[in-house]
Amino acid sequence: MTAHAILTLAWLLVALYMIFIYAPSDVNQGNVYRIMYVHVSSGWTAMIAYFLVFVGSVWYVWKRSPSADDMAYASAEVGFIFCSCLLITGPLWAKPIWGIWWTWDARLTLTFVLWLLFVAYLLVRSFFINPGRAALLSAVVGIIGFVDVPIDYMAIRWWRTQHPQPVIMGGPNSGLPPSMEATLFISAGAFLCLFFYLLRQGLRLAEARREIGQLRRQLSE
Amino acid sequence: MADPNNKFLFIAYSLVWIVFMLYAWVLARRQSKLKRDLEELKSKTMLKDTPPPHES
Repeated sequence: MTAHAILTLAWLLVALYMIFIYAPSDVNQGNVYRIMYVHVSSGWTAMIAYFLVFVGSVWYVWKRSPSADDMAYASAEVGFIFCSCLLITGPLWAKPIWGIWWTWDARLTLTFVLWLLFVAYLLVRSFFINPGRAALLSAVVGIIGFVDVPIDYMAIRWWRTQHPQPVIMGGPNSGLPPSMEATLFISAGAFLCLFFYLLRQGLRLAEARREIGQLRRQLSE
Repeated sequence: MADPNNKFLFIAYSLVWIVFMLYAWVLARRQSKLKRDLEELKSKTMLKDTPPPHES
């Protein structure tokens, strides 16, 4: 087990302790508000993942570097997992609090679009047999799709939405009690650590796959 | 009395756990496939490098 894996596991255990034992119940929502810790952390991580997809895609289009493509691809795959968690936990929190599973407000719609962008990026990879063409076209999706991320982030600040206003870096009346805020930051840190751990695994697999491909070509020559 | 909304909390965390476990399983499968491919290539390379038998 690597140091990164041990750190991720330990951090996740601390986060779980804080979520279920340290953080108090909410006066209005009871215990169900604790979904926030995994929901918000997944959302932030998914946005960071798409930012890395964008950086890797720009770098690939500019330099045609296979490592940049690997980074964008691995980040898209792990980002898809976190974005799926975001979309799973959102309705499960919405139903008991809003009384509805889903509504097409700006934030929810743009987050769904983000998830579709991850899907589109991964589908483009699997559609093309030519690896160069797949990398280039998915990079185009990665670059164009990035437009969604800042709009999605700002949606709850710009428009009146069913989704609550931001609790972190929001207006003067926003914010969380210190114990809840600390728990949220620890949870987000744990998710980010898990994201980078999974990203590293994805990068290692991509590198190994490329080396095996090269060996195959050498053998067939 | 237990909060009836606790079931949503339980389902949310369980589903997130399942998603990550499934992804870990997918990664492990890919890794074992790559290992198999590497072993196959190694054996092919060894066969290629072995000189043909000579008549004495």
